Amino acid sequence: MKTDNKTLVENIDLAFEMAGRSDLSNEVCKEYLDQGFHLRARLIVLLASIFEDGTAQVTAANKLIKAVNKRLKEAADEIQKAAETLAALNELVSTLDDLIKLPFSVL
Amino acid sequence: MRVRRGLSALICAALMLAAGCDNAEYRQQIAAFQQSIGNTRSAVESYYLEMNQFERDVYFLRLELDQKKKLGIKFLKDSRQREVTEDLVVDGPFSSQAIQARLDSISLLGLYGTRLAELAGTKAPVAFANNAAALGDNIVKLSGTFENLSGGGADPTAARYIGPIGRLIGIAGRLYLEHKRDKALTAEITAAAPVVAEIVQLLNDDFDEVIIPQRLTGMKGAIETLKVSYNNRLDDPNSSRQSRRALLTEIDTLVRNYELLVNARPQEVLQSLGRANAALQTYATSSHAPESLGQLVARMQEFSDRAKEVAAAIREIKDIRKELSRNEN
Repeated sequence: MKTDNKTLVENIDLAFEMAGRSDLSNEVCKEYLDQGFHLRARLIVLLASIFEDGTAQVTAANKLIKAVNKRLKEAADEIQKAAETLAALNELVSTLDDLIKLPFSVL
Repeated sequence: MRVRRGLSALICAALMLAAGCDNAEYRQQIAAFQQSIGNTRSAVESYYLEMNQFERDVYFLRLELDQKKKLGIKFLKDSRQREVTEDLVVDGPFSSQAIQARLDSISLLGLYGTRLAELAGTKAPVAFANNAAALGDNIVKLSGTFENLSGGGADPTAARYIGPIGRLIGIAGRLYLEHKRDKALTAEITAAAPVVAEIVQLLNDDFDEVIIPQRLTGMKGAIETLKVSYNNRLDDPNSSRQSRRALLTEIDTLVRNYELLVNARPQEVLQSLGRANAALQTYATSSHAPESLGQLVARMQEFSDRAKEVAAAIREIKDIRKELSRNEN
């Protein structure tokens, strides 16, 4: 049996994508970059590795690979949501600015 | 009566001419097949050859840009040993023996193509005998190498190569004795095509499961390393516009490299080789009807186009790498 290398590759990709974001601090990006490389070093060994069928550690590792994949996707979505919320706030500011330009009477 | 006899002779001559044309076209397709295998071979080979160098390039890039990262060097004394390390690995991380065994398999495919072309050529038996040595000891040793590799557990995927490699060597050896060209050609294609298909599939799996994930994750990591470094420089009041521009140029070339790798999809040339090989087998065992010749020509053309495209993309990737190292110097 093999480790779930396809999802592991996706996890590394997602970690590097987080490192590439411009809306995260440099420190956080660097952390994601380092973790991406740590994972990649393991992947290089696992790419051509086959374990005995039924190895419990492989099953457990695959479960964790999948769980982390879900977490990474959620994190990316949340950051996306945060960015979208910021954009919505910005849009609201502009809309209110435009509104204020209209003639109005003070209460 | 005389007219009928004349007509029969004419029909006979036309049929012979058509068969002759078919045979000429068939042989031409085999020559094209050999040429495309040659292009595929150099493209596929370069990926295997660069596996360890690519890891070193990524490692050095991180070292250059991350001031907190210290240089570490590990000598892989035992190629069977698998170890996780983020240091620079000498003779690794991929075992040179495993890489060489794959390269020899690709050579074997190339020799198969050459032998087919020799058989199809006009000086078939002579060329055949003269090149007997090429299929001799070196290639026979190959299955032994795969057995050694898989035996120690260092390269479990090697075991899958043993069967087809052994069979292809057997077929090649047996057919030395054949002298009738077309018969030998059909016999060789019929016997070898399934084995060639198996080897091509194994190489394709190597690309899907090992080489492409290694390359794409490495390249993406390298691009993001440069990006993090660039953003850090923005915070540094002493960073010059020139140094930032140099980094941006480096990012640009790596991104181009990444795009080329994604678009070239070298494993597709192997899939195309598989389809051309199957078409050759179908035609060899058919009654050589014009429509099956048409299918063969179409598959060969597709294989030839794909092999040329991938070869061109690889040339460009190499040029980019040369340019990068020139800029660094």
